[in-house]
Amino acid sequence: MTMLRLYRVLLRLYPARLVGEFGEEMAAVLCELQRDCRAEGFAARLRFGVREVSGLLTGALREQLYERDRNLSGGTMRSYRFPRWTIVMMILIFCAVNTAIEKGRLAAVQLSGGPASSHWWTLPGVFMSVFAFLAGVGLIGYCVLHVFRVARSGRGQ
Amino acid sequence: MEQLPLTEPVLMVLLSLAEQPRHGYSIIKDVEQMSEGRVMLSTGTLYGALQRLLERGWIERFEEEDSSRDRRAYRLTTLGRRNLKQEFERIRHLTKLASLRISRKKA
Repeated sequence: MTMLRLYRVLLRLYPARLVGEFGEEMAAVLCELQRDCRAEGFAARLRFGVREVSGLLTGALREQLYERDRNLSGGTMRSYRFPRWTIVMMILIFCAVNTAIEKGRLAAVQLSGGPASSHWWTLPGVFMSVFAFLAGVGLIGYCVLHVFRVARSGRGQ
Repeated sequence: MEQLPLTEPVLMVLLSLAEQPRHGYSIIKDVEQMSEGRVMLSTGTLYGALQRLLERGWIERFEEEDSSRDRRAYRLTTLGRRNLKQEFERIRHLTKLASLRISRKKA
């Protein structure tokens, strides 16, 4: 059940058009696959979960990019809005890549016998910190504007 | 995406549908069996590919009498079958060429 719930949450990362068309079908297929997995061991269930979640995340990114291209080539550029979930995913991927770079650098330093201290103020660190700061400011700004808009429209009452 | 050459998951989906109409679960299981467990499609990958193939007219939804909205079947269209044959010809040519080149190198 938990897996299905997580699956439905992650499905929201997909373009609404695709979710509307295939969402229920995808969830039904997941349930069938999950039923098959139940008889197998924990490792098989874990593999299945990881495959589905990673498949959904990469699929969502691919579909969002495809949808963007489709909208741009279809002449609907003016009405196009950058999906909020894509921004979250891009930030997560950016952080993951930067962490991997830093870990790799640390491992290389350790192997060469150097000091094993972290140098977060190197290029990836600076990039990540500035990016995190700007994302934070943007998020706060968005929240303030959203609260202001809700207060003005009277929806909050 | 579905311009030739095709990606392996898409090719496997088409091969699975070439034999008979299938629904999503059946396609995943058939692809797994065909590839002897090497290609295991996630539902995200499968439905992304199915959507694209539907848009291009390579496959179509197949209405089964007892099927609900959650369990729809798909089948290959004439265009899809023609393109699959074309891809198969390309792979066959490539295999032949590779075989020739490798054997020539050995000699």
